[in-house]
Amino acid sequence: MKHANLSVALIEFILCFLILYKIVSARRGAELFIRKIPGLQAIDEAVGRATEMGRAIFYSPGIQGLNIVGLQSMSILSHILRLAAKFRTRVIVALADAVLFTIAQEVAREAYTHEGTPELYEPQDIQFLSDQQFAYASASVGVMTRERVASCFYFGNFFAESLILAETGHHVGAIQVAGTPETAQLPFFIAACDYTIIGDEYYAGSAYLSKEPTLLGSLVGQDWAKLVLIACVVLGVISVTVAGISGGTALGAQLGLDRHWPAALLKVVEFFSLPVGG
Amino acid sequence: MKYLLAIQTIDRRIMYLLLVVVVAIPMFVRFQMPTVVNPEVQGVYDTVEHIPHGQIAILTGDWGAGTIAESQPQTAALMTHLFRRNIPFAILPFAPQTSTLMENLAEKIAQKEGKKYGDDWVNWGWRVVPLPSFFKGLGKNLPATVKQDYKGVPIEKLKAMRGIKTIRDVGFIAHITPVGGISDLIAFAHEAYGVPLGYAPTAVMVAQGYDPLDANQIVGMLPGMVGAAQYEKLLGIPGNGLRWSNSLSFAELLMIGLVVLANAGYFLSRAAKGASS
Amino acid sequence: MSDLLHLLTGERAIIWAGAICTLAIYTFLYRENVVYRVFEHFYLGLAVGYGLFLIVSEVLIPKWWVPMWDQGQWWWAFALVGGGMFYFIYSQKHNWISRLAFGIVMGLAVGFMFQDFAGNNFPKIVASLKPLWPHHSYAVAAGTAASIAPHTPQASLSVSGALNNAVFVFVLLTVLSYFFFSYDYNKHKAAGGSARIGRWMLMFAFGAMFGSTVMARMSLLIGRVWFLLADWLRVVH
Repeated sequence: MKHANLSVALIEFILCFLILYKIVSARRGAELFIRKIPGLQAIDEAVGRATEMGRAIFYSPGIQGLNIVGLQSMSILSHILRLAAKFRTRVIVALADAVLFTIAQEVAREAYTHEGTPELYEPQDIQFLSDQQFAYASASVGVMTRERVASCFYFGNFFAESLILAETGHHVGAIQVAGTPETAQLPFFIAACDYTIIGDEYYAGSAYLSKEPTLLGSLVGQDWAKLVLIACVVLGVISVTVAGISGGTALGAQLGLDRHWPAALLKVVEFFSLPVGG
Repeated sequence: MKYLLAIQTIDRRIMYLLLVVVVAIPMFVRFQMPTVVNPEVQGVYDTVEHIPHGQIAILTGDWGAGTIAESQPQTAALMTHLFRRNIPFAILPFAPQTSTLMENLAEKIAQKEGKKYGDDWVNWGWRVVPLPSFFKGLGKNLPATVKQDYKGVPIEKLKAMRGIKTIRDVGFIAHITPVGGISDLIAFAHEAYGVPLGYAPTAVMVAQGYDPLDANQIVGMLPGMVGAAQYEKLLGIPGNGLRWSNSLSFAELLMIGLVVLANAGYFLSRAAKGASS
Repeated sequence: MSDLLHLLTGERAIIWAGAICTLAIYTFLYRENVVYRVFEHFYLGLAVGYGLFLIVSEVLIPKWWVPMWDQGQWWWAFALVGGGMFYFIYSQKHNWISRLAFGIVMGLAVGFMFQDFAGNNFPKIVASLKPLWPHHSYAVAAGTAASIAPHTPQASLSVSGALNNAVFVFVLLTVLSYFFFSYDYNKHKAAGGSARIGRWMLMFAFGAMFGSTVMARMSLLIGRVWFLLADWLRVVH
């Protein structure tokens, strides 16, 4: 089995250090800036629309279970439930995973209690539909159509059921906001939803909505980590380009780059490579 | 003007009906639309073609009845190729329904190809262990990790598994899936042990395959039903993939036609409005 | 009696049941109706029952009960304690016990994520280091770049290849810049411009990806139509 070599371990350490450093500084009171994310701002609009129309909100956390994506989804659900509780608007949560189902129940109970309206919590609105992909999609379609929901939120891991849900939401005339780190599903949400949170914006969601220092610090730390990776890519591209010029073009000789250059420059590429071994 | 408006607002139910008719026609009429083999399909074919004898292949999957039209021809094409090359393979299903569907399919193809369970293929059965620890186990001691097949027979007793000690004796893994999951196999099978990986996703999940393809983390890909059709062409065995891809082409032609029609109606009615005002 | 049982459980009966379910679900395409509703609940009931059956027959009995009870592996009894911890989520007083269980699961998941991250992404970073200037193939000193054989930059690079690489690197950097959250794009004009281009690039990619969805949706329909015509009506072969 191959294990991470020193360079990979070093990069992982730097990335972790940057994130932890920013978390600590945020918790110590450093002010951190986060740019506007339009899709997340649209949550207020969608909850408001359901309130105006006097209809329910539909929330789906996708079909996968308890993982990082699922937990982020629960955090966004908590925000939506609190907003809805303020306006006494009903939220129907459709789940496909038993563990997430129990967490969603807990999140809902806490959200309503936090807003001082525990009597609004209806356990039957947090529904476990099915853990089978298309049975879940079919039941969700039924719920959305029968309740004629005014707003739909899709935040989580989605697969082939994504377009079935979003098409139905569009069909019933709901305002729709979606977010998923599943790149393959983003085109369908973009086509069928009013607002879509793309890729990493999904992970930024809970930090953006809660403004909690630990999450904000982590988000800013990740930006720094991305900067490090961009620097590595730029350095690597320059290295292999110069290696190509010095090793395989007449220009290399004209510029005085001798045959030792490629070997030295390709070390940069090797730095990122996992070792071959067994 | 009335007609121009009508072609922009065709009732969706009429479109659904048209679609069913258009999809059904090629099923009644035997013919074959031209099929061009993409490099990513060729990549999988070439890898299977060069699996050394003495090694096995693993076909993993988590597809079910919902995506049978795409996943089944993909699986069938890969199984046929492995049978023809006399490379034994193991079915490793990540969902219980997949175990039954893949086993039934293997039995059906084996009858045609004159192959026998236990000698030419085995079914390890649905596993509920986490993928990382399972593959780490395969790296250390494959028989001790797999232990028995789906019928409860110890795998050492199966001819197909003789001499297979660790994952290093696995020459190829193909993942047939409607929900992705290739990244786990990349990390825990390919990058950890260097096993060549093939990816057979449904067309919805195809985009997920191009990144690892560019990074040489997978040897190739069968993109949905079209991928299966191209593989069948390479094998020279027209199966469901090739046959159903005719219907697919017809359906896509209908959709292009409807898009053109509606847009033509839109622009012509705009032009007519402009002329009248 | 046995004939009737055979008729009800035989292959034809299963195909008939499948065909009726397929058509009932497709009635939704006309409009939401009582037939669809009945079959939707039927489908849900089946899925839940099937899931429950699998948990008992494929997990609890063979993986837990048989080793613990029949094979004397008594330590499997602790799995009941671990699993039971999740149910404390329903207890107001002992809620913390369930959090402990969730914490362990999340901790394990995060641990595996580290290997997953390195195994998946570092080879992609290496593959992103593409030369931007055309060149002939060249050799390097023995021992160098041995581990980067699949991504070797020593192979010759044509003008079109270099252009492709340039587009790749440009898109990579602009898209990455779109996913910076702590920059005020109004103040950092260059970063803002790059992020805007990145967003456009993403939209191009999503548009291209959407095409394959149409293919997937049609494939699902083709599978069902084939089932109805070949297996049920037997009018095509």
